[in-house]
Amino acid sequence: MALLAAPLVAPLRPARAQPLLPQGTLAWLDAGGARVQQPRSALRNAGTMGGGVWHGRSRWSVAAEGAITLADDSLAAAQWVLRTSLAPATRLRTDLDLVSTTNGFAWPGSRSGSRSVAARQSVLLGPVTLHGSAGVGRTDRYLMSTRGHAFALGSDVQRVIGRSVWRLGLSGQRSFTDDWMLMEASGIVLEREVPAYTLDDVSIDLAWRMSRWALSASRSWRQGAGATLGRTNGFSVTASWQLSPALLFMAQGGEQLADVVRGVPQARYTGAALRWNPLRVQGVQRAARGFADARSLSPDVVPELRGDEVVLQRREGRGVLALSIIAAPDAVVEVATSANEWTPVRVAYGPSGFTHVLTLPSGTHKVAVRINGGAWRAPRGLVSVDDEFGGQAGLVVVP
Amino acid sequence: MPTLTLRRAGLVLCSGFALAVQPFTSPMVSAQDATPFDAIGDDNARTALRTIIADAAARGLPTAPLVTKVREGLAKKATPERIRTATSALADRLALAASALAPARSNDELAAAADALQAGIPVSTLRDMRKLWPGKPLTVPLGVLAEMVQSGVSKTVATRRVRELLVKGATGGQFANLGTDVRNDIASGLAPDAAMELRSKGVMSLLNSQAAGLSNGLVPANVPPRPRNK
Repeated sequence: MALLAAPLVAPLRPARAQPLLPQGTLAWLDAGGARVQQPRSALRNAGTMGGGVWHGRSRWSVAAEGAITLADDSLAAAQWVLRTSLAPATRLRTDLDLVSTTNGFAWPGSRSGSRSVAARQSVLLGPVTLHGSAGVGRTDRYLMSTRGHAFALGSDVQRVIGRSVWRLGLSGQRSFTDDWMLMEASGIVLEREVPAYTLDDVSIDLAWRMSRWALSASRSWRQGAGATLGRTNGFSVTASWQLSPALLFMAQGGEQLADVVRGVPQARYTGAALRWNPLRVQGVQRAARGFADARSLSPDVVPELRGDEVVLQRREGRGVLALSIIAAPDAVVEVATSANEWTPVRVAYGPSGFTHVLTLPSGTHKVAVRINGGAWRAPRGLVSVDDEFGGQAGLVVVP
Repeated sequence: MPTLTLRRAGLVLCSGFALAVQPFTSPMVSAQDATPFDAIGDDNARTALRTIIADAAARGLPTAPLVTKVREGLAKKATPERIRTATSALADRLALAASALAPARSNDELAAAADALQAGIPVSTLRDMRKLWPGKPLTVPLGVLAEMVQSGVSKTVATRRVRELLVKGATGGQFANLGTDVRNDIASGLAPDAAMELRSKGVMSLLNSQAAGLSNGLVPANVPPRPRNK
């Protein structure tokens, strides 16, 4: 689970050696790719591009960054972030994040997307950093507005051991949301009608850095509280390699829990990216874990429809219907559809039984199957309609 | 552009010979004739089908769905009379749909509207939907509406909810999404109307007794529990 308002810039040295904010201007450009599997959606490949500028003075810093993610099914997401940090005293630091995520190539404020704000207060006590954070966000999806907010408390311990820097973090978060789509997709449900889902999270993360290498891993556990039932967990592994002073390679993988503040669904992902820093500041770098978040892709892909004999995946302009007809191995199974002018196609028996895949264009289609020359019927799992010839056909709508 | 082709074919047919005598003089109709009609052994049925299709072309209706219907009947080994009856009924539905969706209409849209009419959606609903979306294709909303009604959602509830989504400017993907969610809910045991109301309103799910056991263990992320009514 990504902590609320995670620090934008990760100091290369222990916090106690650098109590105030670094100074200078840092700029970065990211380009990479990821494979994302959101619940109830097809596996998607996505390309990401992003960049940002950070400027720090002794007691404050400000950063602006943006990222665009384009998936192979033409879905796009854009994320815009404005971040500020204040360090009014040696041991205090305040971070404030304003985040806007939009679906499609749209500017912040468009109807589909999310807006959130999060603040984090840190107290630096030698190698130990204590932090508390809070965030609130609104997500507009499927003509529905949802809201979420969260509070988190945690601590980090950072130690230099030999030539390595180690950091161990532990945090807890309580969050609330009425985003039932996000929750259902995560396997979280309500036992009775209440205003919001309540979630308790615990996260632990461990990071190691030495020379040009950095590794980090985290584990998160989520459990419903009160009327909210269900458990889930996530993990992430990140590795980065400083190829040159200006070039960083990053790789990430894991399963992230749904972010109720930003309206980002739970998803498994693997990705890699290159970061170029045209402007650098001695001693600081953009945290590797923060590269463009492909998970924020719109879940606008129509959820998979699964039935006894069908798996239907759809997106704008294309539908893929995988049929798996239950019949004896020596049976004669035929499939016919309106998309192929009702030309019956005999389905071969393979290792997975009688399977056949249809690719359908946008529109409404009808599909029928029959076994051993019997009556034509709808594949089980599709809506059945009267074919006006004494049989049935399955109805498929492709957006 | 198919519409132009059809109109041109219609002009040819209207200004040519009597439709019932030589309807296949149109190059387009002749091309469509080639495959399906030869397979119909009954001369009277074959002539009747050609007349139905030529008449549809003359009225500016898309003939492709009609030819597809004939092919469907042939593939399903239906009797010639049954094929004629089904094709004629489809032609009537296409004509009603064309009238209701005028002036803007695409072939896919008309075919979806004909399916909606077959599902029992009244013509007045099609007119209303066209008024709400005068410039955008109604293919997917009509398809989802028919799908919902065929799934058991009452026409009143399905029509009202689809209409609300049209007013709000939902995308085709969102309509399809709604359809999938409603059908999954119905498959899980929720009453069709309740599923439609829940999903289209976006209200939170309620848990059934089956889901109560989920708190004791992990739930696969890709198989979310579904709400049920009791």
